[in-house]
Amino acid sequence: MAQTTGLPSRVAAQPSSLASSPKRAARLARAARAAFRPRHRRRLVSSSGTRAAAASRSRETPPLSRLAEACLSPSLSPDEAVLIAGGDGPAMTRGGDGANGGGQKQGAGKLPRKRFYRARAHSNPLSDSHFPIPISPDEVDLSQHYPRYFPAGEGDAAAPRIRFADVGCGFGGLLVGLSTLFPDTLMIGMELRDKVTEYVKERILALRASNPGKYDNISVVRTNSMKYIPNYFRKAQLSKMFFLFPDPHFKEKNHRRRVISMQLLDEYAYVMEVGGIIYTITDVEELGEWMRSCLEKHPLFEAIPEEEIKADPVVKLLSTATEEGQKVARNGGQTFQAIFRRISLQEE
Amino acid sequence: MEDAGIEEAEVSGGAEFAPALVAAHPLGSSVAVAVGPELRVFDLKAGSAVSLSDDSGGSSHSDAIRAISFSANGVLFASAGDDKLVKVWKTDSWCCIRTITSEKRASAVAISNDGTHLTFADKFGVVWLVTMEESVGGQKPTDNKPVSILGHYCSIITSMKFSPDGRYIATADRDFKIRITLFPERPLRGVHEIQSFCLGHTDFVSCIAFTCLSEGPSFLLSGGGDSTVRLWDYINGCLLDTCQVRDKVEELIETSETGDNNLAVTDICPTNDGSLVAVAIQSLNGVMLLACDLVTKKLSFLKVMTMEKSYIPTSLSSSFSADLLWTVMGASNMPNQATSQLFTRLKIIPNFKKDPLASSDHVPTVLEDSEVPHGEKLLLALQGSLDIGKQEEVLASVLAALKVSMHKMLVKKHYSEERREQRKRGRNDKKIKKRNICSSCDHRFVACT
Repeated sequence: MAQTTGLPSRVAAQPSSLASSPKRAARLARAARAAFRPRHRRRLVSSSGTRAAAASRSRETPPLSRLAEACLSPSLSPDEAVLIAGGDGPAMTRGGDGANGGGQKQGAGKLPRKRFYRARAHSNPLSDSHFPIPISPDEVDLSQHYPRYFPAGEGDAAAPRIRFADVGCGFGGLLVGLSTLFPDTLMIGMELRDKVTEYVKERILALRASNPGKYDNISVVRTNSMKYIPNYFRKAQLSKMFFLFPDPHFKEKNHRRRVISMQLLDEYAYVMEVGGIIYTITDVEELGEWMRSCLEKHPLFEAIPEEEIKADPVVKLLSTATEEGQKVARNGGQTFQAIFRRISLQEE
Repeated sequence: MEDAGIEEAEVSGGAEFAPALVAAHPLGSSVAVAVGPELRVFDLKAGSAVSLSDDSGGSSHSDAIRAISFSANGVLFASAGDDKLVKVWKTDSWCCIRTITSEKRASAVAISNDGTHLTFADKFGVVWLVTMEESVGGQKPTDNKPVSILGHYCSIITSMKFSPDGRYIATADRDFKIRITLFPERPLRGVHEIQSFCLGHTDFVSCIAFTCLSEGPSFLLSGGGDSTVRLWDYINGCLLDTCQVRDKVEELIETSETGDNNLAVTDICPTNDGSLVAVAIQSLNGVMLLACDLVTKKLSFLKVMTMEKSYIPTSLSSSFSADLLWTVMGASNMPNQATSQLFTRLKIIPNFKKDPLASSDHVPTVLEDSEVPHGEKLLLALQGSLDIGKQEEVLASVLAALKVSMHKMLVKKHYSEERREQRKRGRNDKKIKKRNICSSCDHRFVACT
């Protein structure tokens, strides 16, 4: 595994002028220490550490250089880069809400800040859920998620359906990337951690407010997709499902918590149309092999030829659009993809 | 540490109780009652109790039996339970031909219609499959370990049945779901293609049963913790009708008794022609009958057949040939029990057909103990005692314990917001952080070293 790569060098690369305060030194030391922890624990600690550093940096820098920084920052889409730069400083004309800079409440059209939505990296998928679950797909109210596609008072005769599902969408990077790539396709992110879901919600609202006519086709829902996929989607409803950088769950005891397994693939196959594509990617070799072997063994999925994968514009987004993917790329880590197609059962 | 105290108090509510179960042979030649680890069988043709024998070399049941089932043709019988054993019996000799050890406690068992496969479900939601080599003939699978064929994600499977045509296997769980899966010719390779989900219950699903018009299409009936019986077009996963039994029961029982509001449906049993459904409900002393019209696809309340006050059936069964509805009541271990014997109470409703039952308002509809076929012999064999009817307080405590036990096992846990916050504070990863604080300078270790 690519465990020892990346982190120490990232610590060193941070601007040394900021490292003068004792607090800063402590942070650096912590990050260095984190480099020697097992990967899945480290991810939480290290990323929050650097995120805090980025936040403090952005507070100190003047608005103009923030624009430049935001444009360079790989973790943001171009629309968001503008949003960040305009959020506090020069764009007072837009909303007049520039005053509530540090508050958790976000004004319209303003990107939420991740530091207010930090959450533990793991969540127990086995526990009884306490959040509301639709009893059946008929109860999913799409007009709340996609108001532009479901104007009030109109019959839902030819109502569009959700076609893409990003399972474990995290901070929503892929959704934002896909939204402009498939502007007429409804897609939903599913995330178990409530704070993270809140962040994605705010992020989408901010993007919609600042880019009228765009980002109306993405939404997010807090749910346990390992238990409740059939409560959200009908048979053969989805054409694409995404499982990006899922929790690796190294211990054998915890393998049943992995989001890809033979049994769960049955349910994914049920909600996917024949010809639909399932995308998985991870930076953990062991998990990559696990996901690939599950998909290979499953009679309802077949591997997609290499040329076809190369031609698919979505594949590039897997490693570039998500926060987790960018982190891996930054650290020079390896990724392992498994991209399969849903097929109908071959009766011999 | 008060948190741990709360939890212990919740757990120590008593041992787990398993309800007594009854199963009638499809051709009416025998009837089986399971209570605790005991399996009692009565041969209705010979009119005598059956002594079970075991050729499989496995141990006998040592903990509560949770599921029993005859195969469709009545040749095989399966029992499974909390002792993680699944036993298969031949019904002609009542000899155990196979003992399978499960990894987890078994919660449901079914035999495929052609008798070639046995499936059992465990409390983690996984369904396992075993080939019955005797019936296959000739080719013995080399290693005959159970193979996992499908799974509900970490949810107790409460009931499992094969459809009448044998093409589908239906599984119900405590997460409100009923899953209909295509059962292929060679299921050892896995049972992956889901036909539909029947979603509509708003609490756990406790029982499912297939019903059909003669030679017509078949439908699925289900009952659950939300006090409803539902009729499904299971091929398409469509809910056809819902019958709320709560209102009817509350009319009958004084509200003081139903303060706990546990009116979960515990078992359902349709008649052969599909026109009638018998429903057992927690707290209802008797059996509720629903008229089931499979042409208009409607369920409607017909009547409640009340029985003596303390008799609340836990399990129902009927056979294809005789028009008898067998009902049984009992639990695996009795609270404050002096004797070691496990008692059950058995009652039989004759003429389990729509027409006589719908019209006969004054005719006694439950057989008295003296009217039971084979009389005392049968009662002694299946109940364990003759005068069990007199032990009212024992029966009452059994039922109270059963209710609590079922509720605990199947109902979703609801924790208050404060409770969840409190649990979060005591989380292990937070504890590690606390330990890292240096005692001498009150800084984190990282900062002071």
